[in-house]
Amino acid sequence: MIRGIYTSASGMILNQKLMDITANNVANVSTTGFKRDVAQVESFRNMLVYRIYDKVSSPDNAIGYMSLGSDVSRIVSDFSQGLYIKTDEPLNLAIRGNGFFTVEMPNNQGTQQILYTRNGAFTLNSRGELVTLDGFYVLGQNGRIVLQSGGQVRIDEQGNVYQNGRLVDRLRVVDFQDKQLLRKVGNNLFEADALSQPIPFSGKIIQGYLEGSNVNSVQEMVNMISVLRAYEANQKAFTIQDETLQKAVNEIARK
Amino acid sequence: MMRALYSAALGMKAQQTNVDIISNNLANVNTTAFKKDKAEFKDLLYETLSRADVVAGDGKPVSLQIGHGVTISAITKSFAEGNLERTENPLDLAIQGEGFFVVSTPNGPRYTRDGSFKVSNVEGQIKLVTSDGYPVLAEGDTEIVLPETAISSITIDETGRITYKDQEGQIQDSGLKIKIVRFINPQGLLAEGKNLYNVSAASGEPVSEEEMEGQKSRILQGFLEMSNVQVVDEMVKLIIAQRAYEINSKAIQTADDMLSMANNLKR
Repeated sequence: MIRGIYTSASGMILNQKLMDITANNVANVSTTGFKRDVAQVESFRNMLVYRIYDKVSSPDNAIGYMSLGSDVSRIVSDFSQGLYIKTDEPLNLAIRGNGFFTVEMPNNQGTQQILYTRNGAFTLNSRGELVTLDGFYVLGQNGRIVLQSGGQVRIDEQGNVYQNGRLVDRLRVVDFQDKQLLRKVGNNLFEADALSQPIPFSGKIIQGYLEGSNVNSVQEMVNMISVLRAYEANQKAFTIQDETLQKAVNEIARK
Repeated sequence: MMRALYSAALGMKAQQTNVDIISNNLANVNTTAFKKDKAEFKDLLYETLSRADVVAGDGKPVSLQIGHGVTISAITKSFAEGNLERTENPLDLAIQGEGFFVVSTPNGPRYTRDGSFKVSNVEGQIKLVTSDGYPVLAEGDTEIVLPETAISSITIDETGRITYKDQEGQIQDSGLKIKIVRFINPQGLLAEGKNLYNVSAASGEPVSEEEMEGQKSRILQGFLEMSNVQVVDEMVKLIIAQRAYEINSKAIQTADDMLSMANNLKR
């Protein structure tokens, strides 16, 4: 009926999506290796509006361009560094610089799937294999990393794993040219598609530390306030248009 | 209705569990050989609103994914050694290293690092037991039984070998050695309370240190291992958890305000 009503509604729906993203960020404020999501907003495609009752149709009767709303165009992860948290656990690792640990997870087809994570909270399973806290295998250059019980584990900055002075394997830490092609799959894991080929890793591994979430609560708080206010403004615009419409329907026809 | 409500509610729930864990750590700040717990968080599944697809340079290069909150993925125990406290009591033992004592309970063997042992009197003989009365096992899974006179003169060396003085003041070798076992993944042990742990599929079977090569644990007589809880660390974690809880509750409030506005569209 009135274009503006739909425009305001699309603004409200957009702000709801932004709130969903913010809520997921604040929920993960304590998640190790979590990378916050940021939404990019774009307006709908512009449309050209014409006067329609002109006798001849010519380029002159174009009123101009207008857009009837906005939507989330992309949600990108902010891969900036999180805080380092000292834990002193020998199997807790953090990555300084870009890069991801490679993890092998069984999928429902019974095959192994390769995934990537920044969460370096690792442990050993009952066979002495290095695993994530969900039990997925952490990969080295030669596959799974098997350690023995007892004996100091030392992991150097390049990711070489030593036990009792003996080199066991080197962690498979990779980087990506375009990290925005990674997809979050939950469990602190990222999935790479065929387009994002791993490239060698140039950062450093730090043993005894974990990387905290990079969610900044002040930033998210500000986001929440601005989302709420934008939502409110859209709601006001909607209500006012509705009132105008009410006047048109109920009052103009009366006399 | 709104994902935001559920995501933030899950955030609050996870932080609540986190506070539960922190308060249990603080409650056990004086528990002998207590090992602190730590909550590990992970993000939940993502809903893909539109999938990335780059065909011939056109289309969306990035998928549109919104997450669904957070959950506690694991509670890990830190087996870092606690401080040693000198007690001068010959029946107090501390383990330096990764080992565990083995005690025999009515439900089968259990493992502990709490070495505050006592003796119980059995027909002129004394038996080494834990504070709860469970016998401590020696190599060969035998209970440790010594003559009554040994009570004040038990000596236990670093390897766990037990000697005592007999009535004539002669040092006698009891032939018993305290059993120390190790686990490939101690974090997989099940805490049962009373400072006892049970094996699980994740911890692996206990391996006696006697049969192992490499560095072994040392037993220190007259010492106890304190809890490895650091009050400062826990307080800091408590403050962070509280603030995280608070910001999640703010997110719920915001989402609720938005819903109320949506409901007020129609008056």
